[in-house]
Amino acid sequence: MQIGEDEAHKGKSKIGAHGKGSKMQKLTSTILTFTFLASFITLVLLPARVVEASPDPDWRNSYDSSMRSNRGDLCFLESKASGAVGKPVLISPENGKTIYDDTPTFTWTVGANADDHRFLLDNEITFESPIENQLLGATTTTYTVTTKLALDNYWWKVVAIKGENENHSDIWTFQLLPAPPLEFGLTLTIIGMVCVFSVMGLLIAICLILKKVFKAPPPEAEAPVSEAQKSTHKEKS
Amino acid sequence: MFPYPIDNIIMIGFGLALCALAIKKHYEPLLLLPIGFGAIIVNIPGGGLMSPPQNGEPGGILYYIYQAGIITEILPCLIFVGIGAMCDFGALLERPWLMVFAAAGQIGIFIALLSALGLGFKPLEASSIGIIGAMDGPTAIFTTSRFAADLLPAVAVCAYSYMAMVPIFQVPISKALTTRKERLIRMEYKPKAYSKTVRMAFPIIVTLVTCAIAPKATPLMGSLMLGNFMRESGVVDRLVKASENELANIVTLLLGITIGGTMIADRFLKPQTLLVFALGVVAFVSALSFGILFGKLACFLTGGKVNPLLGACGVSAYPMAGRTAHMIGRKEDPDNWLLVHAVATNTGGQIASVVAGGVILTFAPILLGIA
Repeated sequence: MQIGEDEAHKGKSKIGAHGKGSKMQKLTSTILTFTFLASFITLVLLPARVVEASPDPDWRNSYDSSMRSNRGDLCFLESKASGAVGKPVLISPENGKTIYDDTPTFTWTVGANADDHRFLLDNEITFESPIENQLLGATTTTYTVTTKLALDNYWWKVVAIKGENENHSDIWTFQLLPAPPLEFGLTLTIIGMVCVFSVMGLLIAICLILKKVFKAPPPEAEAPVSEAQKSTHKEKS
Repeated sequence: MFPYPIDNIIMIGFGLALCALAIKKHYEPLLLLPIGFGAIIVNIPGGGLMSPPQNGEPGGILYYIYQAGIITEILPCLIFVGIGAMCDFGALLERPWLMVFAAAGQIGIFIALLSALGLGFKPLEASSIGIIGAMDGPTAIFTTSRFAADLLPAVAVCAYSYMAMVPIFQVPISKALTTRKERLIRMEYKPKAYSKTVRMAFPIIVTLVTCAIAPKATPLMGSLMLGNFMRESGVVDRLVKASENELANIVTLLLGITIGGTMIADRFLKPQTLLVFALGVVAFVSALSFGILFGKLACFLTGGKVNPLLGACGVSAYPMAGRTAHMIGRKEDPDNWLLVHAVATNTGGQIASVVAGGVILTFAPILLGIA
């Protein structure tokens, strides 16, 4: 609002100088009113409507990225109103990613109202015998695996707990691979260049063979003129 | 107070800059213009053009085009049908040995790949960034959508915008790496006749050979060679015309606007994007430089019969790279006509870039144990 006020002051001084004070003042105040209304609708009414309209508790996924900074607060308000424990939102390692760190750190956002969080990691989506099953605090949002993980596909989730109530996060997966960057790069470069040169070499050879096998037709010779055509030509002339 | 967050304003500015490059500088206008406009409209808050369907509400239009065209890899393949229909491999068939330069022109891919790995990109991301060095938009999109969809907007914009700037890279590099004497080398051109059977067999043989070695290149190479086979067959003129005009135009529009649509502020405005653009320069410079150095080697081995400028045409930027090499040669000697040789090498670059892309698509997952 300060900016608006400053602008209004600037406007006033200019208005005085030109002697069209009242008109310009009206214009300035109209612009300021519209700006205020527009900001009010954008910043206050719109998010509130999104919360009300969305039956999905995880409405944040559908909401525009520009409002991302407000998400935590709004989610908190929403959960508090319903009295249930909020759903934790997983952050990293991202779903479907390949990672090379065998002691990865997992991060998420807390479930609103949660007293505890349970972190679960397994190499099967069923979580029947989790590799990691850790009960963590209400405000804990990260966990680093202490024992080295084997190369495999993994699934993980976080459960927010409040007394009897539980709210499970989505299940995300990642793949753990050895950290091979340099070896990978050099091997792929060698394979790539060998393949490209071989393929192009092979194509050159095939083209040369084809050209020998399928010889080009001789340049078109003049068609022999028959006796009948000759006589017709003479008649015409 | 302002309804547009600063990130979105930056992206809208970026979109406008791409449109300006297309309009004012004529840099790949067919692609940069829709990409730029796509970047503008997708960053309108609440527009939801790339939003997935949720709560019974349908998704945004660009979301559906992206899912149907890019994720399924249909659009890059369709655009290759159009390119194949436009490409005349006749000059290359006259002198097939020029394909060696096309192979050398792919070194840039691997230098960029190694550089990306050195900068900490993951192997599949680095592979996608490396493909920028092929100077082949559809191949870059095809590979990146499979390996690193997050990088797709950066890689696609980088590949297409740099491709439009090939002369800006090629002229100084060519001049720096060749002597005047080398640039003055004239190459004899004697048109050689070859049968129609050879012309028709070429696309089939290229498909069979390349796809046997790099099977993952089959969709791209198959599409490229389908277009060319239709052209050479001479019996489907309507299909050829449709492929090189209507199909290519419609697909270019959809591809452009969808790639632009992926340039959403919070996904695009990352330091990673700047690194991709920097690595794109590495890819282009190394592709052109190693191509010319290979040309110099060929010049030396043939006793000065090959103009090293041809080395820079082994990339896929068709026909710009070939035309630029010809212009550099003519600037030194107005009677030096390198055009046929240069364009022949350039068409070879089209094939080699798809082969290189296919090799990466095939072998990178195998090396990582995820095939």
